Amino acid sequence: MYRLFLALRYLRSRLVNLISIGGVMAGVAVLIVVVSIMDGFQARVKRTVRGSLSHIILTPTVGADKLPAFTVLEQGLKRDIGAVEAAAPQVHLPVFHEYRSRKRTVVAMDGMALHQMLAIGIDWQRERVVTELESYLLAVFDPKDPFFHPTAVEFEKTTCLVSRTFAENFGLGTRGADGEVVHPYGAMRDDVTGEPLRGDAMRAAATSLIGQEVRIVYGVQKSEGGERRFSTNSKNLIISGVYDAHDAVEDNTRMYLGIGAVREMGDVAHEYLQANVRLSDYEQADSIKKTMIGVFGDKFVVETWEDQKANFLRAVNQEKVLLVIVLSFIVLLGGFIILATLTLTVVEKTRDIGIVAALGAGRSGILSIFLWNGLLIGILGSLSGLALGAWFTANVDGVKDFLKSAFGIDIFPPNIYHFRSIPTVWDWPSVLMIMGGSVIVAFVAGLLPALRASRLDPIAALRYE
Amino acid sequence: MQDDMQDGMQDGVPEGGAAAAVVDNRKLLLHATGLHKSYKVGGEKLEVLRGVDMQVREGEILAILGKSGCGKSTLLHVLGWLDKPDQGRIMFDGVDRSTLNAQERARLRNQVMGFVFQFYHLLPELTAFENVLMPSMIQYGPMAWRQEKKHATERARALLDLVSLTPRAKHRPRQLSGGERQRVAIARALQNEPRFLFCDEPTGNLDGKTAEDVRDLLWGLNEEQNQTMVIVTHDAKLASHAHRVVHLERGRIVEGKDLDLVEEVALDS
Ligand SMILES: Nc1ncnc2c1ncn2[C@@H]1O[C@H](COP(=O)(O)OP(=O)(O)OP(=O)(O)O)[C@@H](O)[C@H]1O
Ligand SMILES: [Mg+2]
Repeated sequence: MYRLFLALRYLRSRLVNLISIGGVMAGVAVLIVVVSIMDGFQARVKRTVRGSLSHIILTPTVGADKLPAFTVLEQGLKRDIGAVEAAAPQVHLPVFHEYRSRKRTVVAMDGMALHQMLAIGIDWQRERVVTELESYLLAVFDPKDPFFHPTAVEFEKTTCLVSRTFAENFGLGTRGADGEVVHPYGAMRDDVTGEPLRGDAMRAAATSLIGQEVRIVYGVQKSEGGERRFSTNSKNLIISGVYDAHDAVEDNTRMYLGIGAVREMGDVAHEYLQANVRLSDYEQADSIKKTMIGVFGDKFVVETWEDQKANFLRAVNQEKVLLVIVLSFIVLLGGFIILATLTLTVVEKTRDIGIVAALGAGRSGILSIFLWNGLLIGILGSLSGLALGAWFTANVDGVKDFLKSAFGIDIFPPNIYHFRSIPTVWDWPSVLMIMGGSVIVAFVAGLLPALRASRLDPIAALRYE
Repeated sequence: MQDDMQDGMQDGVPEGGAAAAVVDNRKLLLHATGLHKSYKVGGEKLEVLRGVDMQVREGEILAILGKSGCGKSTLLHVLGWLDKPDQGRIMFDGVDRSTLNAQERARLRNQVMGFVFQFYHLLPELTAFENVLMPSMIQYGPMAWRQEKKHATERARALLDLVSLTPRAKHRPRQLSGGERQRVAIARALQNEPRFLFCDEPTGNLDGKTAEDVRDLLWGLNEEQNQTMVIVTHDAKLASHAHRVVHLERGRIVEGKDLDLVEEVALDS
């Protein structure tokens, strides 16, 4: 009974123990926050990148004449490969978005500048089952057909879906119908501060963009009498919808159009330049990929989306492992503080140890007094670290915004990290592992001083006066 | 075995001591023979005990007198199993010290022996009450403690009352005077109802009045509960009340001196 009792007393009566607890707490909190963010990062990367990429991507390696019709490919996939749920065709065309730039540094003529983008032609009915695009839509004129807009029909124009990030960055909606400036920073930003709008205001602004125009310029190759000709075209597209795929980098350089429109614009002979496949079970992607290569390998390159983003994903994972290793040193440091303070306590408490031994506490009893001491530091440290880490994880965006507004430090620039908010995932197994590891470190750190205490000769210890 | 020994020891009981006749047929509780103990100090051997023979019978109050530094505390620690003799045998209630391991000795010390140290040796982080309770907390594991807690705390409270320290129960040792600490130490020594009480200078640091109070307390215990005790002291007056007095001189026990002599020794020590 006395073991825990005395351990608690010694813990309470020594202020240095607070430092040990603080050390463990800091280590645990930082590890929890970092692991949560890195896990969140990985999860978000997987979700968003997969969201617009689909599970498996087939890219034709043959000319348009040898390319199987998409319906044939689709049937073949569903028939020959298990776990294929759906497939969707895409045609990509590099385009330039022409915009009015205030910056002199940008190559611009008459104040107009170009921004390179990818026009992705999709078959909506198929695309919506293969990727997550439908769930990313913020505003559309017609939910059943996001590419429908009455003005486009009336004037025989092409429609497109633009992203929220793109609209923000290029100030879409700055000018009203008659050309005067209505939103100095664009419809998606606050007119006074220029900060991006959020929530309902952001949705309303997205809706207000529908029906407005964006101008694109693109090049077309044509063969005329055996000679290759290159010509440029331009087009005013009507925005029929706004989406947000939460990928600040990709969203900025993509717009979605109908597949027919893109083929026509770019004079693309291929029926499709990419076939996206959705699986019923992504876990099997790698083995399915192998089967697909066996069946379609002669005409297509087969990749999972992770293959396409392999470097990025690997970098994220390596960063996580590295950070965990580096930050574990904080916990180890906490362990050393425990070792030092407990050794000090044992020296200081030599007489007490003699007394307790004289009163009939065995060596194991004295050992456990100090083991408990270390263990209690570990437990208290990791519990408070859990609380601190949980709070920080829950408020990480608030902390980020605070740092930005108070010190001008942007710890999470969206154009580097792809996301505008810091993603976190609360993974209990990882959290418990961090806490358990820290308690073990504290326990081991307490072991040495405890052994030392238990080896003291009670009579010699009593001579301390 | 106990009986055998008691018979065998009969001859060894000293005669001629002032109180020896009274305790002759009481049970032999502590029996030490040929105790040697030396310390090595800077390569030189300091022989403190050189063949101590002692017996203490149940219900007896034995006083040990001796000059300062002659080894009284050392002897008491050895008798109380806190320290190991270099040579010799100590039997406690028929059990030989050397036949027990450290854990068994610790348990016996906890449950059967009470110790009042020369320098009190209270735990500074604990209140007076918690200090008194400590032997019981050591005795019981967390499970048994649940059942015993009530009894143990009641006893600790009663003991604090006995040494008139109830109002000081929540004080830490450093908030207590020397005499109060001494009394807390006595209460702690009695907490586990020991059969044997070792007191090292229980009145050494006390003024006359307080010393008398402590003496009354100890002698009262002896009268009411037949408490056996060995008391190491300088205090001739205290020694004069003991049932029997022995001297520690040049590492040996000398018995049967007159109380006059006792006083003399005590005065020049
Ligand atoms: N651990 C030790 N190492 C070396 N010498 C020691 C040790 N313990 C005691 N001594 C010596 O042994 C002798 C006896 O010490 P002890 O404390 O038993 O004397 P004492 O009779 O109790 O004295 P006092 O009346 O002052 O309390 C002393 O000379 C002391 O210096
Ligand atoms: Mg002494």
